[in-house]
Amino acid sequence: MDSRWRTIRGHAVLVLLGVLCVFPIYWLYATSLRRPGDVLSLSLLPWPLSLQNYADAAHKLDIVRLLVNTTAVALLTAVGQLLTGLLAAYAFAAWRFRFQRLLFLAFVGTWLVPFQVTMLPNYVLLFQLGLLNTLAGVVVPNLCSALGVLMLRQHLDGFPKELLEAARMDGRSSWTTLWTVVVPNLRPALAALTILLFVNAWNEYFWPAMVLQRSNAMVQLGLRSFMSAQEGTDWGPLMAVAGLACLPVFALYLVLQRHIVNAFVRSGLK
Amino acid sequence: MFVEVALPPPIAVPVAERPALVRRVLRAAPPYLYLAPALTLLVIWTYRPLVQTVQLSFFSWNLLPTQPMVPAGLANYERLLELPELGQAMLRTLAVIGGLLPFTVGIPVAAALLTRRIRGRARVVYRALVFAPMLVAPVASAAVWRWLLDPSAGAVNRVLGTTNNWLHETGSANLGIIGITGWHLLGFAVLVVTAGLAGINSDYSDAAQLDGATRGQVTRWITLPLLSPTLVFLTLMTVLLSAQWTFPLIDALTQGGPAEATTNVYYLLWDYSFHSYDAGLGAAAGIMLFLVFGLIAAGLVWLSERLTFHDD
Amino acid sequence: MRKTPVALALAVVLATSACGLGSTASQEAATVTRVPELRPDQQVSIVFESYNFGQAGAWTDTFNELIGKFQQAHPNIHVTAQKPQGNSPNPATDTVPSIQAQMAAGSPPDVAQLGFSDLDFTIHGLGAKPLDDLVGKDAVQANFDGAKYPYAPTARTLGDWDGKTYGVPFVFSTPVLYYNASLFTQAGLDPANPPKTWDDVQQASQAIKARTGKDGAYLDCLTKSAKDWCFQALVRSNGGHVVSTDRKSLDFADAPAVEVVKMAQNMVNTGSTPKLTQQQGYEAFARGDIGMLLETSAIQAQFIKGAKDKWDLRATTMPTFGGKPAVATNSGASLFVFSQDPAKQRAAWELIRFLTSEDAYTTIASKIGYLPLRTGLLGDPNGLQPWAAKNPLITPNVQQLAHMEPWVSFPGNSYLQIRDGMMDAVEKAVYQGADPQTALTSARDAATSLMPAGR
Repeated sequence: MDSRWRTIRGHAVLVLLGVLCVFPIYWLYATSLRRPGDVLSLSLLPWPLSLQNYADAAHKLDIVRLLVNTTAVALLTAVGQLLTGLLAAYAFAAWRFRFQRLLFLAFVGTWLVPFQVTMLPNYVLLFQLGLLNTLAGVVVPNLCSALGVLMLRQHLDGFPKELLEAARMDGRSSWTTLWTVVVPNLRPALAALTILLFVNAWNEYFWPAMVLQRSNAMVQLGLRSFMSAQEGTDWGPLMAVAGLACLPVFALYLVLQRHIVNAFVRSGLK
Repeated sequence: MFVEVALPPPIAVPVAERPALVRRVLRAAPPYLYLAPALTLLVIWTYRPLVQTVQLSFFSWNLLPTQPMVPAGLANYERLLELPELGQAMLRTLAVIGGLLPFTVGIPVAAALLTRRIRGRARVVYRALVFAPMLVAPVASAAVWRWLLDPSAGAVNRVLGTTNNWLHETGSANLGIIGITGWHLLGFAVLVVTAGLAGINSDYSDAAQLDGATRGQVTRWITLPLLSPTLVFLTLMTVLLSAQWTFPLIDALTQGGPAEATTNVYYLLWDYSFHSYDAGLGAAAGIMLFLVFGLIAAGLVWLSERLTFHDD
Repeated sequence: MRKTPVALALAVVLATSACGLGSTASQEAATVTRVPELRPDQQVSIVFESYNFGQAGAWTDTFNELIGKFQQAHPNIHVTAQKPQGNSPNPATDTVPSIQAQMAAGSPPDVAQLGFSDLDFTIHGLGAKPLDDLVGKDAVQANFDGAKYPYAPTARTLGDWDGKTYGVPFVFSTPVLYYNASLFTQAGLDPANPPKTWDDVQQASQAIKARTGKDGAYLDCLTKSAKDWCFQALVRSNGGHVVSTDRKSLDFADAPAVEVVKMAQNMVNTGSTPKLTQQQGYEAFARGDIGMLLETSAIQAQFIKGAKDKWDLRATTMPTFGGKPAVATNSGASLFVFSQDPAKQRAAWELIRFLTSEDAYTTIASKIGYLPLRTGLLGDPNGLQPWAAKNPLITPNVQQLAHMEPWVSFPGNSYLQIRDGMMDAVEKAVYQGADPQTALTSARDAATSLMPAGR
């Protein structure tokens, strides 16, 4: 029947797309789990499984330290961006004040400023602050995210103003209102946004590469140094490091998939 | 016994009134205070460097404290505009935009339209699969695609039986970069379009079908126009951001090569920022990118107001 | 009313950001005077920057080992190692911008390893300190002489300018023709008689391709990422130059260079040379998929590992153009001093002396494969003689060292664009079929406008 055929067609399309999208990721992990000698094998399932590539990679890079550092940086960055964004969005949503549009444009405008414009002066400032070659130096300049402000403002625009009014009638200060009325009602959105910001910070390469000169303290830098290794490309361990570089994000994804997808999609829509 | 004695009239104690201005300031302060942390960060880490870079772009200087900054007026900008590579880079940027549109608009729309009927668990699973590439870090993506596209050891060539050096031959390098970037973005675009489709009121298509319109006609004359805000949004994002999206991959995989086949405008200006050893020229490259970006973005926003067909 | 606050805001931002980076006034470069020796109790910290730290592998391990030994020998000097700041996949491309950025911030590394191609800019642009002034010409020459084994005569002057020594040459190689003796045998060629001229190479390549199906030869000298050290060797071997001896004009569009490019292009067109990037090229050779490779000995360890138990790796000197003698140039880098502080300058010199000592070269040569610049070590039974006996691969390198010419750096601040423009043209001609004369001429014309005026 017509509709059954259409359903089958729909499934076929989605299966094809799904496989195309996931295959490279699958291949990455499959290659990393093969025995070093089997790395060139084309068999779809890696068998026998072997963790030798991971062991080889751990030999050359202190993977655990890299992952710990990166987690700390990504977490601090995400939380920082969330807090500054929340405060700023609250300001935009709960008040009408002068220069509101101008200031909002100031946030949007940061999206247009390309990295090479800010990198050198920020590098010099970091040096003057003594934060070069530190993880703090990676976090501090990124503590405000225009994306965060925009998304939270959107959410807060849809927030029922009556609740805010009621709180004000109760004599609560704006600060109290924020934390007792607004935040509890925004929890899912805040969680989704934190994940989004965490993933963005986790995948960031260029600014950490500028700041961390003395050691590849973060996992994307370690992976990059592996790619241009002096002894030539060792595909097995390289896939192992790449796999580990993506693993925490994928682990989060498996657990929180729905929230993450929603967060990304909403961030794209006006 | 008690004699009522009238209380003396209360002395009017003048309450020190706060001056009206201070009170007004205090009342207006809270939003600014909430904005302060974010704004301070913005000013220090984005706008201050922007202004410094603008200043620097009018000088010629090789960054050494022992060498003076030589005022150069507009010479840096002229030099950039006269670069022989600029024209080619612009053409390649247009090629990248054109190449990405199928991935950000074409396939997602087709997929979303063809799969409207799938619901429930299956939909969730497909969505999860299709969205996964968006989460892969550019560096990791470069690693695995370099592996897949390796001319002798990579899976793509081994399965297809070819020996192309996909990322390092002038004919295919840019296509390879476009393909990998498209792979990253496909899931995101499919989901955006699906969300857009879901937001369309089905009354319209129902009414049209009652009137005897075929499915194709309904799609063409009702669904797509109502989807236009989403489509316009995706198209504009592609036009504005393609060069930027391909950048981490180009930097990791081809470094603009082979023979500049993957050098688009963004990469060209980046290269000049870093490797010209003249900080003024590099600054001018960054500012030029900023200005062009801003102009195109403004233009596209204006255009989007004109093009979208809203369901009012 | 609205405009004023905006204008005010702009003014505030401008005021706080002005005088952020540099100044229009020219600062006096500090004159360099002799620096005193360090007292035994004087604690000094120095920073050593080398692109070898950027990549995982044997180089990083070897360097860390050397620095550990140095700190044991000099307990009052603490060395912090770092790689060049920047985000290029190959840290070697970031060396100069890294020094620039750190100088802009006000703290360049004390010792840095920079390539010979950057020599002119390192001295005149970055302001590397003349070692002859810092520690005295006698001390510098004494270091070249070493405790027992002096530097090869051609190696001593590579870091000099106008008679003064600025950099101590640290590691380099000459172009070596590595070849796969197993493939030679399979193709019916005699591995004991490797090709002597480029015509021989072409014939051998065709034989290998026809009889084994593998590629014949890859010259890692013809792409932008390969830089121009070995291209200069080819051009010099054909009797030409890339830049005139008075450094005032560019000669890479003249006949000798064009012939070199034509020869290489012909090899690609006839299928002798595969169209691969630098990394793909040497990795393919290490796998045994290419018969011959013209390459630096710095990555020799990779070939040895790839060939182990699989194929027979051998090496010979550069082929010649007909009867003309082959001229080898050096790749590699020198160590320079950038610090302003006298104590750090002295400590930096101590580090340089240590890294270029006999002990250090013994470690570097045996663990990485670079040529030991103190060639006498190769005859020392306690030094590198056992290693040399097991590694006949270094023989061609040592032979070519005797008649080596320097890798010439281009003049001016835009030297990198000149060099890249030249190598881009070479790459386009060889691998993309552009006409060699046209490509090189237009590159030369574009580059001439980048040459410094009036030198």
